Amino acid sequence: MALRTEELILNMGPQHPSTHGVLRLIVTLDGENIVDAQPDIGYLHSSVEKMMEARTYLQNIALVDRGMDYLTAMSNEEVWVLAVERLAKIEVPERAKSIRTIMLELQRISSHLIWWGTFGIDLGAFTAFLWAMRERERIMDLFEASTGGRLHHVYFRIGGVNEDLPEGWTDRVAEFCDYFLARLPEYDDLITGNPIFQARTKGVGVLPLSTAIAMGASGPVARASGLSYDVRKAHPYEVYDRVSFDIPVRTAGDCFARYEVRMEEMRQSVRIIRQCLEHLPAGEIRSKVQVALKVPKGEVYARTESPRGDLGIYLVGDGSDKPYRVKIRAPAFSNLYALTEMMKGWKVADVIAILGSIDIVLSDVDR
Amino acid sequence: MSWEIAEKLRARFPEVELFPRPGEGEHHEAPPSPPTPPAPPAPPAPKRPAHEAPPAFLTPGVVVPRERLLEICGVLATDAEFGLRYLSFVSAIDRPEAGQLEVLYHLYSFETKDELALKVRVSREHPSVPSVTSVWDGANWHERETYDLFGIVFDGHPNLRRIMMTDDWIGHPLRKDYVYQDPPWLVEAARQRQRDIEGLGLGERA
Repeated sequence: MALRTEELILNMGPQHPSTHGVLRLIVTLDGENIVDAQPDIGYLHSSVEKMMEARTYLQNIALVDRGMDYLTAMSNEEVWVLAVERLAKIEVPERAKSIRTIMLELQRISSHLIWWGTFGIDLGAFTAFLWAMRERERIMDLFEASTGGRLHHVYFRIGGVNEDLPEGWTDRVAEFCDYFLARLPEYDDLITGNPIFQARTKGVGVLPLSTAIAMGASGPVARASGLSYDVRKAHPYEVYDRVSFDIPVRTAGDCFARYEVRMEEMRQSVRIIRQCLEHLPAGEIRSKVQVALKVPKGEVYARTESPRGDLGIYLVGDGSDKPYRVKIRAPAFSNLYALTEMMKGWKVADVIAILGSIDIVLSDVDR
Repeated sequence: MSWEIAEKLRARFPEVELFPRPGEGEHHEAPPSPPTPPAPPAPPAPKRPAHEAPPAFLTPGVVVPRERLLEICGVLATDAEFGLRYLSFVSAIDRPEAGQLEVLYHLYSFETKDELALKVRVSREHPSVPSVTSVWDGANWHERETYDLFGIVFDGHPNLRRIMMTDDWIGHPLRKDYVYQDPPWLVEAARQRQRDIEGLGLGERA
């Protein structure tokens, strides 16, 4: 005799310890099975795009730094200065390009570490978080030494960077690279090879490639589904065309594949940093740019590979010292949209595993 | 950054209009001339202000008539000649002086690494365009966001609700003429607080 069941609607969030911020998930359950999962967003919307219209190009560096994804301040600054430099046709000195690349890759490692730690917590492994924070702390110290800020740096400038690297900083980065690479096998011992972890992530929350593309997913989420696309390779900026690195791609499309892609990306980031340190050119760190820069009329779309994916800015300049319109293409926004598709058919206990595997930051989703 | 794809599209659909190309029909701004010896009698050569130069569109793009949007998008996404399978985003640009909103789409092809911006011009009064969710599923949330922040109605959208602002929000914040007003309860709360502290020497402006 079949058991008669009724659908149950479960609200997760907006205040829930494992939703990674203020996300509300409306999960429709049939018994333990997920029938539907609809994310409800907007709790952190601060209309950064509107605020940017009232600030000068320089002031906006500080705004994108904290108004967008708060875990990847450097990546936000990068996409903004890149868009402005392209529209205003400003050259960046070679040394600044290398410094920026080092910073961006350190930022990628630090962001992926947060994800690794919180993903561990989501699945009940608390140690991972402590280890990740221990390593991230070193990156924060490096950032603090060079930019003055730990989370929000306001370090990039239109046409370069704010300050040159302090004495001995590059040695400290090289030291960190050695230290960090030696830690990664420990991570694998603790989490990657853990049978409980594998049971909870392998084959769970599969996102097929065609769905990933149709939904606009990008970054590690799309690469785990088999899309071999990374903006750093396809449309290189800074010095990415001169360093060698691999784009990890998996085809399984499940939580474990997304995990593997990010773990490998951290190794590749170390590779990039080492090459940049080796070939760090001397010279200027900033080209001469007016403080009240007037950007010519025009439109441009600049894109970068942030730790979360394809981060772009469509900039409309009107010849004044403030942008006319800025559209921020946030990777987490599209990746979160794909969540519904990943969740359908899985058990309620998998909700947290799947959500943790796509690595969203709500200030990136909502802006 | 190749304009070829935009030209291919125009060859197929003559009614699309390319964004003005860099260097096409524009007077290049004279390179900053070496400091001319001060010649007092001649009026200083007016340096052309940036806002007078014609706009430069660095991303290839086309303006599409509203009626043909769905058809053109279908071709762009599925025809092997274009293969623009990836929709980066949907958004809009408000142009109050022209009485228009420009709905903006950005498309990308992984195979050829081509990108293409699409614009559809609609009136500010009753803006509506067909939804492209049937072509790119990912347009769903982007169109909701554009509806929320600009008030553009996407016909045929499966779930056109506000996404960022609350459901009872009035107005569309990213429009140029949008003015934020505190809700009445907040204004009243602030007034009450002023009454509470009156005479205490707090919060009074000289």
